[in-house]
Amino acid sequence: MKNLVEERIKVLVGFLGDKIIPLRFSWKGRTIKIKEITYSWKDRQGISPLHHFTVSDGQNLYEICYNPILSHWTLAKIECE
Amino acid sequence: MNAFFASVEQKANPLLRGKPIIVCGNPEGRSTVATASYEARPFGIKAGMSLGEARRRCPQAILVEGNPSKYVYTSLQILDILQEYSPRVEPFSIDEAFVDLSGTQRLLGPALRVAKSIKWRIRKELGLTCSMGIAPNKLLAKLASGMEKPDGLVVIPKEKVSQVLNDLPVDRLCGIGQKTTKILNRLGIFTCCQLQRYPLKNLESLFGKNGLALHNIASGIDQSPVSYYFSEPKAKSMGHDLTLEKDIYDRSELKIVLLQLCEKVARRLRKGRYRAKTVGLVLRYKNFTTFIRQKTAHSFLDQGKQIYYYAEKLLEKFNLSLGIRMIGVRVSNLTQGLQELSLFPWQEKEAALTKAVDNINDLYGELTIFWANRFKTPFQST
Repeated sequence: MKNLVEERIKVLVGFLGDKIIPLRFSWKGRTIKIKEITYSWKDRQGISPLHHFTVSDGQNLYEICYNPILSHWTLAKIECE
Repeated sequence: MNAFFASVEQKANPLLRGKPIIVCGNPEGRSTVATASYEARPFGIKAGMSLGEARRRCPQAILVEGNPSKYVYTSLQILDILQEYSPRVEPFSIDEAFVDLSGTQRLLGPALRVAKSIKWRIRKELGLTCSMGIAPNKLLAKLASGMEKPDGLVVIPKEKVSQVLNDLPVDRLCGIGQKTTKILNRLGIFTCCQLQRYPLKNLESLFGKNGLALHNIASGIDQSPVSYYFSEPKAKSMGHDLTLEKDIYDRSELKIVLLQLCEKVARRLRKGRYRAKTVGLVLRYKNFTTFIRQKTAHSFLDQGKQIYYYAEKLLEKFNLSLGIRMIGVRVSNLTQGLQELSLFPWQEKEAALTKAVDNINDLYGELTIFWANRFKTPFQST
């Protein structure tokens, strides 16, 4: 089941060279530990580059997005089995 | 790439792996199959098939709404990998490319080793599989790449070209489509060998200058070079199609969609600094019969309203009582970089307004500003 969320979240990240590696994020008072980044891609919204990641906590799949111009992260979608 | 869009979605979502999936437009609405995963293909599901038909053939298939930006980004990643092996990389489509390895032997070793290395990197870095073909030219390489799927690697050496082509059905070769195959079949030509032996004069009288091209294709001759990635060929035409959410019988309802499509085409023209002189309108009826009409303007166009003016005239010639399923706008007869002087002040005003709208959409993203009539109809692109 897929749910569109589009909510602002806080994300703890690491860096590998110039690569952003999201490690965990907090949403609705819960901390979700990222076990796997299953895919990542970039696109643009006007002049803003957007970094998209599909990540898994071992149970659910989340799509999170980073806007470096506005310096904010968004939880875009959640998919549960 | 193998089942490209579907493979990307299966990589991104572990819940989809090993399952029949169909990548399409809006799964809730009416759209067509963009790609089916290998698990869905035994059910006869092919790209371009209507979603209704695909659902009937494989009710258990999972429908996934396509995400073009994800595929474009992945395609660019693949092109980046290919360019590390050769400067001559020519994208053929979003998931196909030609790589010229003729001058890289001393540096990188034999082509087969390079191909294996490319396959390994695509699998390791992107988690995707591809099929590759190694051959003396692009035509044969394309043929070879389709011979073993998924995850294949086929070599057609020079000395085996005639052996490979001998009994090969003509429609397996790139450049011989369904219509040409039908004509050839009517002439008793089914294999490349038969096409090679057919008198060239007869082919030329039937197909004009394409007669020689067909003869060459059947003989495995292709002298076109692999062009450089950045030497982008000039566009010859542009267009956008839309499969409608429901069949439309009402002309005014269809005109709203038509204006949006014209604006979309015009925006693409302006982005590439093109102008077009010929406007075409494509309509597909409920029964899937498709018609196209076109009209050539007196001057070059790059504004949505200008294109709409001609498209609307073309629409008047169609009978809509059968119900329209798909509508498309095409422009051709393109010129690039030409700037025509405006004769009237209102033309300058319109051009300035368009420029301002383009600037805002460039800055904040597409459809930040759009025609208000968009609110009146569902607008879902395919």
